[in-house]
Parts: sequence; structure tokens; C-alpha cells
Amino acid sequence: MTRAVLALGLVFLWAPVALMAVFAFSDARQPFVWGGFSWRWFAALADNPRMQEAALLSLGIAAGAATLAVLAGGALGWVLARHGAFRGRMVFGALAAAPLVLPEVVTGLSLLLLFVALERATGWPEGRGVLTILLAHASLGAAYVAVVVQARLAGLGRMLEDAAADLGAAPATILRTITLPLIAPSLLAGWGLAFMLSLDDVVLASFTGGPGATTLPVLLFSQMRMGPTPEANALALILLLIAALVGAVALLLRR
Amino acid sequence: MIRTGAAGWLALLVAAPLLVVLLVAFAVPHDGLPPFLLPWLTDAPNESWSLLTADGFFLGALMRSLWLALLTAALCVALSYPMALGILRAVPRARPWLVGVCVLPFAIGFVLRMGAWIGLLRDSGLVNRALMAAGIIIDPLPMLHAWPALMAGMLHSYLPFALLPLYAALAARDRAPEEAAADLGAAPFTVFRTVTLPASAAAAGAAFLLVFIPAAGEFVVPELLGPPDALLAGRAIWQEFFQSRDWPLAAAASVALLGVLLAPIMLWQRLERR
Amino acid sequence: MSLRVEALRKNFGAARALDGLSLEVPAGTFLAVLGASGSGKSTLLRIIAGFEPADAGRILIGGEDVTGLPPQRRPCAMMFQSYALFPHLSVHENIAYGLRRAGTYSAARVSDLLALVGLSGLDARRPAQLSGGQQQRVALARALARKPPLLLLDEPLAALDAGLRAATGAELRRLQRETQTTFVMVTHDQQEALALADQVAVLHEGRVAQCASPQEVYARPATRFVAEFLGAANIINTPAGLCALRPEHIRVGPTGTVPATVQHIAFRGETWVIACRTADGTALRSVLSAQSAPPAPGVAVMLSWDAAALVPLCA
Repeated sequence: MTRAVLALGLVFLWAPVALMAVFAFSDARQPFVWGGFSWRWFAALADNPRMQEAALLSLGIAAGAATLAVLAGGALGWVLARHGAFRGRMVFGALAAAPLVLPEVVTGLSLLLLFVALERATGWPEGRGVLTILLAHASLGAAYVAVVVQARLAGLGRMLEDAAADLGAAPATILRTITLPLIAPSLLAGWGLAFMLSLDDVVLASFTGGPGATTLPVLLFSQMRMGPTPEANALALILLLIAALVGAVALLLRR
Repeated sequence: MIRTGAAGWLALLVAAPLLVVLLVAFAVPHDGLPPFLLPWLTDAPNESWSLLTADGFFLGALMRSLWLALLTAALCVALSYPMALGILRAVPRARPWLVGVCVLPFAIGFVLRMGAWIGLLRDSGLVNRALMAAGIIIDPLPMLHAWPALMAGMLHSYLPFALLPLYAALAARDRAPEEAAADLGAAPFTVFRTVTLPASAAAAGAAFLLVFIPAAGEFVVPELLGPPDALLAGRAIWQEFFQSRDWPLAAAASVALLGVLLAPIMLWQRLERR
Repeated sequence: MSLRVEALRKNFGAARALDGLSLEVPAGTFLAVLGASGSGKSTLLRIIAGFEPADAGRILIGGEDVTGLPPQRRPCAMMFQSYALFPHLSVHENIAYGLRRAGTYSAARVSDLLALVGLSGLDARRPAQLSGGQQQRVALARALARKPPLLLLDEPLAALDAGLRAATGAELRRLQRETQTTFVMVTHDQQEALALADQVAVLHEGRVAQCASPQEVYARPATRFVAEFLGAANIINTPAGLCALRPEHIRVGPTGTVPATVQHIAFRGETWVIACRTADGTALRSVLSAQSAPPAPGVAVMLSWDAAALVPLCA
């Protein structure tokens, strides 16, 4: 029974994706119509500066946001796992987890209103654009990194850090020589997660972005409103292959 | 010092935005940039809240959103349970790969995936063309911009949020009670119903809420796949903000949505802390 | 260095772990802290090491009050029950960790320590590549690296196979003698405590019920708990009050002073355990050499013991 449902679920998850991958090679101008084998949509993609520009911008934002998210989320997870009971811990924990569930439109709108208010009060950030999208994505990514890091630290327990303290290591030394190396895989996984979240976001980028900063998902979203394109199928196949490669390497390296 | 920094991050990027949105919900629309005046800068009354409650427009959108979220979350959890158990019946070495195969479709991004559903389900789409070619139907089935496409898209977007936590919880469970139940003569489904399900109820509840809460404010999926006349909370907020440029009304609608979701959010946080 | 624990109190919520515990350990002593699980013995060790604050009381090491000091600044080292080896560091770096913190690292010192615990040449291994016994010895070498005047050991043998335990225990004893270090070892295993330690402190309800030499706590238990916890003593009511009577001091035979009936017998390898019941209903256990023929259950026997074998108990 469970295996049948698993197979059914996989068919459901994969059907649209697999069809995109197949029809990426179709010569027809209509997506999902077979018109003979062709590489033309990959060539079209290679010759689409607007999409390339958006992709580069998105990759840059995703890398920056993921890095910031690891720094902030690592600190959040560490505080939650290692600081025991402190004043305001309940509020701290609730705020750290909130971005995981808050509807995107609410997060997007509230961050935009914050940036507008901040600019009025302090002159920073100047307008909306790359920086504001990056901060919005980092705020979301940090919540995910915090969960991953907190779970890892809880799983490790405090004993190794206790042992290091017993051997004369100061708290900062413990963090550097014991804690950080042990949670490094979680930080890397958290970075990847935050990177993917940023690359997949339409709503936050729409609210907090400006006219000069159109990310790839925002661009694709405006195109999809007009209907799918064969170029999108080609792009989907490329992304799928990259993800499969990265995922396989990650799984193989884990052993 | 790290704690102060982390608290500062939360104050600036999580707490402050929510406070600002609450403030703007009581502001008054105004021609200018930003397009509102804070309540103490104007004598004009705030009309956002009476607009929200005046006719059934926004309340209807809110109810429809909650219904959509409920349906999505229930389907996601119902599908995730057997899927997670199915993965766990594979040999341990294969399990991470099966999880990877389940998650891989999400790597291409949900906008492209929603585009694929459009291409499959629209009147001239692959499914209708195949059905017509097979002679099963004469006229195309109106699936796109209707609830079937909306539900397919929601399920396709939110499934991993239920599948991954449920899988983690079920993988970490103690198998001995299930073996004991089977040993005492319980049939497989009875084992599931009397032992597995109660033992993982908290995880299932958390997974349900992890889908339900964000789904209640979903904008992109209904926008691309849903019925055009079915106004949902997320779309209402989006339209008030981007099309009507009524920021106070968008903020008030956000606050109202958050207010409705406050109890589920608190319940979720309690389940997560268990 | 000597250790002095004064009136230590620790509660976890409503649960009382330590209830005014005091302890005095002279320098160079091997002390075993013996107690059932939940008796507060691990908590005691964690408070001495500085991982947990006590609710009240003082810790003095070498006469110096360390109560408020963090673990880094206490002159003691701890060997953890599950060893707490750093999984991302080699054996060499695990042992070198404390030396590097103190700025006294030298490769030769690490080699000496590895030789001391009989693991020369395993420098480059990771903890996961070692057997349980080897991990235990790396943990010991790491704890001894900075020549701590006081070593705390939390169930150091509990994670080892039964076969390894005796040999490793003897090894601990040898290292303690050679390094002249004060050892405080927590254990729930009475045989281990009696075999290894100079002094045994029996913990009960958050206090030291008795602290004396192994021979003393066994032969002259101070309380009913100590008597029963070490070697399953018989407790009998005498006109002089409650007394403990070791099974090996009860003779079973056709003649004696106390009539009894054999309830059941159990074979223990080198001995038979004979459970009897006297006419007034008191249950008494005796042991017989495995070479002798045991009486059958249900048989009437006579029991006898010397008056000197009776140990009066204070509570």
C-alpha cells in the first residue's frame, strides 16, 4: 500500500517536470507539442540577454543572502540550543521560527514597509533593489539555517563542549575548535537551503525589489502569466541536471 | 555578544516589520511617496478596517483562503504519510536517494513547475489534446483556472513541507512498539492506526500547520492556476498593494490574515518545541 | 591534591539530587563514589568539574575554593562516561587539545602519553576507527595530559565489555599509583569500587551514607542501605537493634541454634545461594561452596553464626 502511494506520489511530482524535460527538445513553437528533435530552445536561451542578466542577478543575490543567512541563522540556532533559559527566550524562539510559516505576502509587505520606514528615518536603504531583496531573502533563509543548526547542536549534546572546557579551552576557543567544525556540515546544508529558497522566490522579490532589480523568478512569473514557453522547458531541464548533479555529489560525499 | 547580535537581527528583520505593518494598517492613503500618511499626521479617518469588514468581499476571500489551506494541508499530510512509510520500507542505503528523487522536482523552481501545469491543463494543453485524440472527450475539459489545477499546483508546491518533517519523525521513531503490536496479532493497518499514528500525531500536526499557515496566504499558485474570480487573501493583499496602491488597506488585510493565523502559528510553535 | 566538598545542595525542579553532601578526599587517594542510578553521583562529579552550579555549598581543591570558577579554571580533569572524544580530531590532536590550550604542547609529550596507555603509533587515527577499549584509553590519556592533580572519572569502565573491564580497572589503578593523582571515580558497580579504590563513599538520597576503606564499608556497614547495597546482606532484628549479617557468615547444617526451612536454592558458579525462612518468618540467605551438596528446598535445617559477625546498624 505505502509503496503504491509512494509510486503514485512520485508520478504526480515528476510528471510535469519530466514532460518539460522531454519537450525541451521539441522543435515546435508551442510548448508541450512535439515538432521533431531540436536544440533550438537551448540556443534561444543562450541568446537571451534579458534572462541571463536576471539569472546572474538571482545567483548573486542567492549567494549573498545564503551567506548572510548562515551567519545570522548559525548564531540564532546556537543561541537557541546553547543558551538555556534567558530572559525573553520565548519571544526570541518565536521570532526566530516565525519566517518559516508567515505567508509570503505578509513577510514581503512588512519588510517593504520596514525598508520604506527606515529610509524615511535614516536615509538607508536608498530605494529598493538588490540590497533589500538580499536582506529579505537572508531573513527567510536565516530561519531555516537556525532550525538546521539548532537540531544538529541538540543532537550533539553539550558533552564535547564540556570536555573542551574541562581541558582548559575558553568559550571562544571552544566555539572555534569544537562547535564550528562539528556543525560545519549543517551550515553548508543551511547555505544550500537558503540559496535555493532565494532562487525560488517571487513574492519577497516583488515586494522588496525595485524596477532595476528583476530576479529570474520574477521575470519567469511575468512570462508565465502569458503562458509557458518552450524556452522555459529548456531552462527547467538545465536546472534539473545541475540540481541532480549537486544532490548526487552531496549524497555520495556523505558516506 | 553573539546573543545580542542574534537578537538584533530578529528585532530588525522580523519584529520591526511586523510592528511597521501594524502601524501602517492604521494609516490613511495619500497621494505621494510613500502613498500613505501615518495616523497622527492627518485628520482624515482610517477607512481600511471598515472597508475590510463592510461587504463580504474580503471576509469571503479570507474564508476561501482558509478552506484552500485546509484542503491543501490535509491532502499533503494524507499523501506524505504513506509516502514517508514507503521510503522507510526501502533498504536504509536507498532511503536518502529516494528522498532526493522526491525533492528533486522542486529544484527547478516553482514558477517553472506552475508553468508546466499550465501547459498540461489548459484547453490546448497536453492532457486535453491527448484525451481528445483518444476520442474520450470532444470538447476540452476546463481544468486550468479552476479548482483542479489550483489543487494540483498547491499540492505540487507544498508536498515537501509535509513530507520531509514527517519522514524525519517517522525515521526516528522506535520500531519496537509496532513490532510488539504485530506480535500481539494486530493487522498492518491496525498497527498503523493504533501505534504509529498516535506516536507521530504531534509531528503530523506540525507538518499540517507548516503547510496550512503559509498556504493561507498563497499568492502565486492561485494567480497562475486558480479561477480568476476566486479572490483569495494573498491575492487581495497583492492587488491592493500593487494595483490599487492602497498600502494601508493591504497592511490592514495582512494584519487581519495574521490575526486569523495567530492561533495556528502558536500551536505550531508549541508542537515544534515538544 | 586534596578535594573537599562542603554541604553541597542541588535540586532539579522538585527533585533533590544532592542534599547537603560533604566529602573529604586526601591527596593521592583513589576514591570511588558508589551509588545506585539517580543517587546524584554524576551530578556531584559535574558540580566538582564546574559544568553545573550548586545551589549551595563549596568545593575546595587543594585547599582553594573553586566554587565560582568556570571549568576552564579548575585544576581538575574529567574523563567522561562515553569518553567525549572529539570526532573531528585525530587521536594525537585529541590528546594534544588540553596541552595546546595551556601552551605546553609538544609532540613528544603526546607520544609519551600514548605510550603510557599503550597506544603508541595510533596518532593519526580518528576516534571512530578505534575499539571501545582504545577509545577509553585515549580519553584517559587526554584527561591526564596536563598532569591534573585531581582526575574525575564518570563510570570509566561502564562502556566496556565485561572481559576488558577487570584488566582496564587494574590499568587505572596502576596509572593512579604512577602519577600520584587523586582519582574520584563514580560507579554503580560495587565490585569495581571495592576492587580499585582506597576509599569508598556510598551515596544515598543525596548524601554520603558512609565513607571508608573497601574492607570497612563491606565488613562494618554503617547503615541498612550500605549493608544491602554492598553484597546483599541479611538484616535481622536483635535485642540490641537492627544488625547486618553477611550470607557467608551464616552456617547451614544439621546442628545450630536457629531452626529454618530452605525456601529455594540458586547456583552461582563458585557458590550455592541458600534462601531460608526461620520460624518467626525472617528471610535469611546463606552461601555454600559449590563443592558441597546443597540442601533440597523444603528441608528443615539449623542455622548458626558467631555473635561477632553481627554488625549493628545506626539506621
